[in-house]
Amino acid sequence: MDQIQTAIAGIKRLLILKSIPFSRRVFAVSVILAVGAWVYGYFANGTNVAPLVPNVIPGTSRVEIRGNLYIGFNQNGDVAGYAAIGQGQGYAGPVEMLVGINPAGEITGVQIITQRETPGFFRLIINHNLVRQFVGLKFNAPLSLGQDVDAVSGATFSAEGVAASIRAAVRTIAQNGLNSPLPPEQKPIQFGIPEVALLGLYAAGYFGHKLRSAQWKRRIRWGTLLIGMVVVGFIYTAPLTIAQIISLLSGYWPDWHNNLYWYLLIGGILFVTTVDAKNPYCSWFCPFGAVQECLAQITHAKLYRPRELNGFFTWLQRGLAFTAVLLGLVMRRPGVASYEPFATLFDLRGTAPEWIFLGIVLLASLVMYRPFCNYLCPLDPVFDFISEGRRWTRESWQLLRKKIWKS
Amino acid sequence: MEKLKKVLLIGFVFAGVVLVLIVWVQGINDTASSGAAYQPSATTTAFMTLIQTKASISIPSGTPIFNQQDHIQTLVPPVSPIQQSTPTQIQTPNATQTWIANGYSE
Repeated sequence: MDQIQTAIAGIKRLLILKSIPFSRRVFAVSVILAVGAWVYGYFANGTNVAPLVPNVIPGTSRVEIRGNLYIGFNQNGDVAGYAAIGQGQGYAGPVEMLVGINPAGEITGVQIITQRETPGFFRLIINHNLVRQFVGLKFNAPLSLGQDVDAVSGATFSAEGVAASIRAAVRTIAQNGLNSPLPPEQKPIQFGIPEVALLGLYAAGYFGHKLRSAQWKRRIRWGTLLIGMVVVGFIYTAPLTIAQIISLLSGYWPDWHNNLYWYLLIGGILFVTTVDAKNPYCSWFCPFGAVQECLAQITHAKLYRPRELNGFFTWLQRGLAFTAVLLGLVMRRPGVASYEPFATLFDLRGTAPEWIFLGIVLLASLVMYRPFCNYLCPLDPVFDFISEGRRWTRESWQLLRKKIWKS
Repeated sequence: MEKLKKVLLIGFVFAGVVLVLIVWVQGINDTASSGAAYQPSATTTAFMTLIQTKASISIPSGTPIFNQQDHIQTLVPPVSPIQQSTPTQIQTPNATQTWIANGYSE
């Protein structure tokens, strides 16, 4: 009897589910899977640090762990040095470094513990030997890019993340190991040309949307697209990427003092999309979209999307975007999931497959209108997802309000 | 013309998807050898110990370390076979643990 009742309840549940449109069922399943991936990623990633301490404090044969401090002892039982982990914010997530300092206050070794950067960016850090430059410096040195350590052009955020994590580790050692606490670190708010340009682009896009004259709307749109291409793309190489969305979901929110741009870009786009139901980015100032549109102007390429393949392409694009999000969340490495050829074009940096990918997209742009945006970009499905969630929430709220009024 | 357009479009999307997959695999490989020292978490260690005893997870060979003795060494993991390390989460505030040679002691 119980089994029959359970079966009936199951069928009822299925019927209820069937009454929900397909896109909403997919939306709900995506949310559940994303939460599952987040939880798995959170618990499955960790680092066992103590065995690594001898790597940063040479001569260590025994390590004592006191809170967040690792004390290395040599074979005679004397203190060989102190080590600690520091965390800094890179481009796609936190960077953690293990730093060793000898009793004289000199950095004896640095090891990367975790990094979640886009592989191409971090390769630059390794190739420039950034980490090696810290070895031999005193604990009370500035340890800052451009001062006692050379900056890495093309990977500014990642390099700053590395330097900040090393400084954080050194501060822990100075306070708990060397008993010479350092004065609090100054954090000036970084507000410059990229931030001003971004606010300007938002404002132009907002007013452009409201214009009635199609001609002026078109002119303003071209203006914002070209400014976006030059400033956000070629000069600052800071377009929106899926890695930033995954960083946001993973909780890797950077320090706002020196990453105000990150908050303005992601916060602004999400705010406008959620509140105004308009995508302020893709058609208005996406730098890669602008490049594709410029190429389309040369050959007068038009949008081509056969009706019979429309559904397949839409779901393929959504599938790619969703796989990227799941991959980033499970691995807790937002940079790994990012496949957009933005850095390859704007920074002229990429691996062979990335260059081939870019070449194919640029060639296709001469034949089709915005081929990457329309068929492969992971950001378009993100906006679809937000819109679907917004519609569902709004409808549910209206239904609930009606019920409350009736009762 | 229509057919050619369709073939071009399908070819573009197919090539794009294949390249995206390659970029992902490359990214995962790059991350594994980018210098980050991978050690299993307590959860992973406990799980691996539970399912079998002969598994070994070690730091990827070639992981660069930077110290004063010689600038770049190739890491020889002090704790290599998983069964030698006690599955202990070490970031416990105020706890004092000692690591010697092949494992932890309280």
